[in-house]
Amino acid sequence: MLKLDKDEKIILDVRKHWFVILTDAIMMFVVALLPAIIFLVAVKYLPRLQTVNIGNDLIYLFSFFYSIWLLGIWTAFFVRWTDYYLDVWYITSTRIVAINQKGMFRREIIDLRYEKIQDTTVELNGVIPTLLNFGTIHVQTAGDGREIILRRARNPEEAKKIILLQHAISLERNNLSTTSV
Amino acid sequence: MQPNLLNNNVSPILEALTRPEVLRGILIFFVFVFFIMSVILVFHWHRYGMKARAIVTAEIIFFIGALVFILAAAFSIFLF
Repeated sequence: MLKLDKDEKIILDVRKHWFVILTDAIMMFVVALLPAIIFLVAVKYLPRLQTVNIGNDLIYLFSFFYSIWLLGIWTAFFVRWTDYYLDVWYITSTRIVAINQKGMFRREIIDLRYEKIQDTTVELNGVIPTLLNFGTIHVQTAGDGREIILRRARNPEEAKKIILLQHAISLERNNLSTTSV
Repeated sequence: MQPNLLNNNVSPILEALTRPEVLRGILIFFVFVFFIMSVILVFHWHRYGMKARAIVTAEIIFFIGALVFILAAAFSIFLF
């Protein structure tokens, strides 16, 4: 759970585009249908299988294993969805919190204050990313040259705009506090 | 009644798979695996989900779908 500082507000949460999970869903849908298709094709075209007694009983046996198969695919899809959904950047009024969920048991959280940001770039590669407006955001820090990346992020231009704006506000705030001392 | 999978030379593994008690064992095993996975998922959703509406919706859809598949498997054994 993200803990915010006093007076800190979340301005934007940047997540991966829905196209990412849609492609996973389509792939899993195809995998889910595979046993049924193989079963039907095999029964129709393999002469040896014509000797199999395809009475009601065998259909129930197939439906049992198929239900188990679907339960596995269903669970795998939600594991994938969790990975997708928990990969997020919170752009707050004072920092960027980049959370990278890697599978179920690995989670990386990077806190980046705006004062440390040196460069922010956005990449949109290809027809689909351009049409659906998703791409990669790179934020580079000054000094240690560290870079945080969110791939296939939705609306990356807006995220970049807000990061740059917050960066400018933060520099201004720091300048004011320096001159007032 | 046990189905006649192949008219001759039924493999012992296939034959074992046609026994309802074996099928029940398989179902229990997979429901157990599903239970473990659900606990892990729900833990992640509640701990890191920031109480988002998407998480609650996903949770409802996940459990309804899983229930349908588990019931379908159980019902298949019952009819088998």
